[in-house]
Amino acid sequence: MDHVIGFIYNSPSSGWMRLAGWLIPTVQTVHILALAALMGSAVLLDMKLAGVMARTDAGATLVRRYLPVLWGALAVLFVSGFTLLWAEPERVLSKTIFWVKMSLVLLAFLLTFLLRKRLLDREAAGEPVPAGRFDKAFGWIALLIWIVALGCGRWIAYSY
Amino acid sequence: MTLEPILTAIYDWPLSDAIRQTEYAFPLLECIHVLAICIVVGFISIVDLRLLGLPAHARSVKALLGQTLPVVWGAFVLAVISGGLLFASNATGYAKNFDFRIKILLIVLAFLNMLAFHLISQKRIAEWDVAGKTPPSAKLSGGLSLLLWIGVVGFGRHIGFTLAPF
Repeated sequence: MDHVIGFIYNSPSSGWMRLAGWLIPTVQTVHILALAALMGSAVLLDMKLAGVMARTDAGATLVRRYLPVLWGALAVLFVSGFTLLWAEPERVLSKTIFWVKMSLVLLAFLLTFLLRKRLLDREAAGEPVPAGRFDKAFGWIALLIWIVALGCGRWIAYSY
Repeated sequence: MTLEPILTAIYDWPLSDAIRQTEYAFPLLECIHVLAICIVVGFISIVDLRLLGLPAHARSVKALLGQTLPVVWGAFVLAVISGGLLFASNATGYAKNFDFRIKILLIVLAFLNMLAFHLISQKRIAEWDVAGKTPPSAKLSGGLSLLLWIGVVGFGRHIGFTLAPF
């Protein structure tokens, strides 16, 4: 990992990014705005399955409106996050908390696929949402994982 | 009249000192603050984009407001509490900080913009809340709100670059 960090840090593009003082705060702002879009969509989708929000609206409508937003936000997060990593590789790659965060993001990403399937399958079968305790727990756990991942992200700045 | 004695009193408050002395208090409060702001901005932009004419999950703006505003207010209260505690930990420093001042100004403007929407556009919501159409006044409110909140996030993030935590 030290080789990777050294390679990125010594690349001309990485050096230029650190010299442009406006770049890191601006990309971080983009990262947080994308996070807002992701959290808004995730709260609605997860809480729909948990039976807390949008109870009178069809699950298929929520999936159609917010899942593309969630995927788009995730793509922006990935690109902006990679930019931040490239500018300051040591600050990111050497922290255990960063790898914990990325594992949680991957897990939340996979859970979102399953959540989409559950929401659509339930409705296709004419069953109510949430169908039971499992659906409720699923929605809450999925949201909790996004929240913890967000916290781990903020924590990168404080861990050594 | 000067704010200095008030700011110093806030700084010297035992709770402010406890935040400075407790190792993980500041980052934990920041996590809560960022999460709360993400939910505020995420949910407000759903309403803003709907006012601008984009579809949301609920067909009527009235129903959408009923579903989203309680979440926005809940998250906003959390953001104010966590933000207030972060402020208290270095009240004199934040009060002097340019980015912080602009951020607060933008929040006040966003609040006034919301007030104007409730008093002007929402009064006649029964007339226009049909078939996905929104009047120009509502579009203006939505657009302004979106821009102001983007500014709040931008200046808020910038505080961390112009002011060291206590």
